Amino acid sequence: MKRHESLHIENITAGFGENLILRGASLIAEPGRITAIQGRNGSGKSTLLRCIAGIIPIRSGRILHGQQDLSPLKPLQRSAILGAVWTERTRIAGMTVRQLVEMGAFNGAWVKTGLTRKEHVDKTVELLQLQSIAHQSSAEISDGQLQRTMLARAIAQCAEFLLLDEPTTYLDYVAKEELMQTLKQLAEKAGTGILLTSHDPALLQTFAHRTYELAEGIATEL
Amino acid sequence: MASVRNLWLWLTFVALLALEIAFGSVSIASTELMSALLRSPHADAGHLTIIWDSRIPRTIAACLTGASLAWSGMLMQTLFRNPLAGPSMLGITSGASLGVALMAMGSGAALIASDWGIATLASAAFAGAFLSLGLVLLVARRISDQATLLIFGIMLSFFTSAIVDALQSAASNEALRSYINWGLGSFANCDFRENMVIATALCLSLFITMRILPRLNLMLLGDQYALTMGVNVGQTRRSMIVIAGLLAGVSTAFCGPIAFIGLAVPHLSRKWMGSADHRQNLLPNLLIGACVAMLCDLISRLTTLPLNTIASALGAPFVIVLLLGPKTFKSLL
Repeated sequence: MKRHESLHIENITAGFGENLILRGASLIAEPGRITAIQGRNGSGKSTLLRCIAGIIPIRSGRILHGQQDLSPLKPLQRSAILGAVWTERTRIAGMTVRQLVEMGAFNGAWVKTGLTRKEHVDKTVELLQLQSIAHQSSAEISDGQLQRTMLARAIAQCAEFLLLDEPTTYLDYVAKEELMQTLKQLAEKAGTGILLTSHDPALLQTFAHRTYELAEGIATEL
Repeated sequence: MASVRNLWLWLTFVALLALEIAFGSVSIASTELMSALLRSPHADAGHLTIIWDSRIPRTIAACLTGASLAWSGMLMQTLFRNPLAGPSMLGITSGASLGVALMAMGSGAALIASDWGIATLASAAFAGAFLSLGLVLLVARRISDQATLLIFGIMLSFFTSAIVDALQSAASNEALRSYINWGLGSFANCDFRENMVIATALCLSLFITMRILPRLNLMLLGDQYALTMGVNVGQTRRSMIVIAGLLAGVSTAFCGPIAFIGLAVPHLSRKWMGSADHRQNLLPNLLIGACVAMLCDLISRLTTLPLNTIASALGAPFVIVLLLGPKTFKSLL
């Protein structure tokens, strides 16, 4: 069962060396809702997501899930709260679409669905309509199919929140709409919180419940 | 499907095992071979020595070393997400070479000439390999970027090679010969004791491998993905480096810096299994490694050419054809 608690990002600062990219950014992402972060290139959107995911260490501030501070959590514990799809396009020759999706089940959080591991992976493959390419090599599929595959892998992780770094980049307009519809359904039906970054204000206006603008290291709600 | 493929590998393995024991520079008739193998009282003493003191230990060494280098290579390729990575990439092989060079061309020449020659060379190679490994681990703790770590390993290889070159230019002919002989690679130096050491390293490595096996596929997606899927990336990377280093270090110490197997066998294994899944590739990778090493050793014995020459000369074209596919290869010709 999901805990349905919000993700609170409180005053985080982070950067590389002398260069401070986040200067006290705060935001709230709610379960069952799509929260968007927009901003110009280099404004720190990806850095913010990486900080939340624990990839880049934060210098100050807190990241809370409900009352729980995420900083001391081990990767396995954190993976039950946060799943992610990054901009990096990873194609592995010799790994099928289904095998990639199955990787998401590594953390064992699928147990709470009451399904077997195979049933859970099959259901996730169906949810993202990947059945017809499930046994195709991930090196031979289109960008849109790969994006759906990576999203399915993150969903298979059964995390409370999904962090999506520019999930609609490389997709045509129809594919963008379809992906956002899938995310909307996921949020509404499964109660998963979605926190994404995007350059597409029109798309965000249609689908995002809450939007933040990140500029000069500070997030402002629009 | 996977079990049928594994069965073929087992059959090839057994066939090569039989060939390795049956054939060599001295030809032994099949009946005499059997009586020597069964240690029959009528067996020829010379044949007994050839079979039990030379061919069997050598065959076991080939199997263990081939399997060790193959798994070491597989881990290196996964760690660096680079199909060109191999055991030599972390500077481990060149560290071992430096150890041997220092011993052979430095103060240990007298020791090498003694009964403890092989043990001395092996200890020097161990020390060199593990010093390099320690250095790499130290850097890996501070650097999260795999490409930087890879470049560090390669630079370390260049640096140690420079020292070896300097030592070679000043070495006596005899010292140079013992270093070059080690460098040509051979399974002939391994007796029961050496094989036990390699087997222990392999067992220990496989034990650690079983603990991290489910995480290895996730490492193929890179650190960012692996971390967010629940993998303790730092710990897994260190385990992979230790296993790869231990396997390559021990094999190199006893059998010399054997080229090709660590780089090519993982490709052969993935191609044979039609999958990059580590869980499916563990056994095939070990078996193919053992088979390739036995095949190279067999040809090396029958032609009296050095092991490394055979491994590179036969292996490289074979892998090129396999990777390009027969059709592409024909169109190139």
